[in-house]
Amino acid sequence: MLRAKDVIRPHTDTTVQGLIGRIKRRQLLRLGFLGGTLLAITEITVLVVPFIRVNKILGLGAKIPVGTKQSILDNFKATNDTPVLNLEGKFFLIHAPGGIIAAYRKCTHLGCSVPWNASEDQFHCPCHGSLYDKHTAVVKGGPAPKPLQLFHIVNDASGTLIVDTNPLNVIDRQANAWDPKVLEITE
Amino acid sequence: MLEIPAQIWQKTKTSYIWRSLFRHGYPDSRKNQSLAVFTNVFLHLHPVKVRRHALAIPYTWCMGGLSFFLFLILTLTGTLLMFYYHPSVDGVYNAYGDIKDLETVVVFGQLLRNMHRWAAHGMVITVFLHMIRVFYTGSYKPPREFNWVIGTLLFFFTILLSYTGYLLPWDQLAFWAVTVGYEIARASPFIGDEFAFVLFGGYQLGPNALLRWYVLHVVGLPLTVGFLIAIHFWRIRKDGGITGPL
Repeated sequence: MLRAKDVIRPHTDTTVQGLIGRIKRRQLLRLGFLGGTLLAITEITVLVVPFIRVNKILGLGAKIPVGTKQSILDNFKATNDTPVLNLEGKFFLIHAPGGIIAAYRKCTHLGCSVPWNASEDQFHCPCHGSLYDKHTAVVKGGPAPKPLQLFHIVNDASGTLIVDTNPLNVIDRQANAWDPKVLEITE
Repeated sequence: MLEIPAQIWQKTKTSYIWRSLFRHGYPDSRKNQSLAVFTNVFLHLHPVKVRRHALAIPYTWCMGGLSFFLFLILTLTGTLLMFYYHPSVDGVYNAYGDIKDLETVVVFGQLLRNMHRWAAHGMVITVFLHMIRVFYTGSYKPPREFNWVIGTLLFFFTILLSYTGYLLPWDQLAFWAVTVGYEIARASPFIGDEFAFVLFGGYQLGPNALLRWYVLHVVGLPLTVGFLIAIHFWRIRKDGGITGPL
């Protein structure tokens, strides 16, 4: 018959086997309980953090198709280059010199949504009066420190332009002047 | 004439049910007075005896008690308001419309909404004044330093509750106030963008943000505050009751 004194080794035994053997039942249960709790907390954390991170983004942040290049240019031709608002994507399609840009309509001053003002033929922010140019979205007046930020546009395989509205991945123009290098879609 | 009610009273008091509810006699002796407090779930947090100075309004301002009272009012009115509120930004039933309905259509809706709003403002004020009182009376000093930490956490969560509730009407005031909050969250060091994205459920204030903050406002934060309040009250007892005058 197996007896306790045969299993529990004396404390003078410093070998690995001896150390393991000296862990008493109470300690084993305590370790097991603590370990189990730690494991459960880890599992819950690993599960909850990706769970609350939204995968399906609608509106701002999504990749939004806006039609073929030719159809957009035709529309600009018919409307005297009036910028086209995309409400859910929060951007304007603008006929820039030599191409198309998508300007994030968040005022670079304090973040209001900038509207197109048809009678003034420019963007006119209602909050503090920042003015942006019709063709380049650079600052023409008001307190805005820099031009409107631009979203990246790609031309997909079927010829449709896709605007990536991720506001953390924008073309940020520090200089207040038109730079043709920001053009991603040329005529 | 009074024999019949006296007999009923006597019968009730000696009945099995009465004696299962109250395990002490009429509290006219010290022992029964103590038992009356000890054995009552609503009173057991109170000390059996209270020092005279602890009842002095000029000393405590009763701000802690008022904060808890307002917390109870907010829980009650908030639960009632939840019956008419949809945390949704558009559709037939939406947050902004529901708040307007509460003010014009729902019976006693305006009263409940205003009670909730004023109690919320009041709680921020009373918690702040409570903190000031504790500071000026030196009640944060040992052995109460741990409870001071719990108290600062409670102040922090009171602010968070107030702020999350501010968003729920989904009007221009709320939207832009919390848009500022989005930018503040983005300014957190190292993880700012990711933190704001998770907290608001998107790159800007939208339906996800409203729902998330609603859940925080009605479940997450009140549970946390309730838990902290339990520790706070328990610690007051264990640290020797309310501090004496300086």
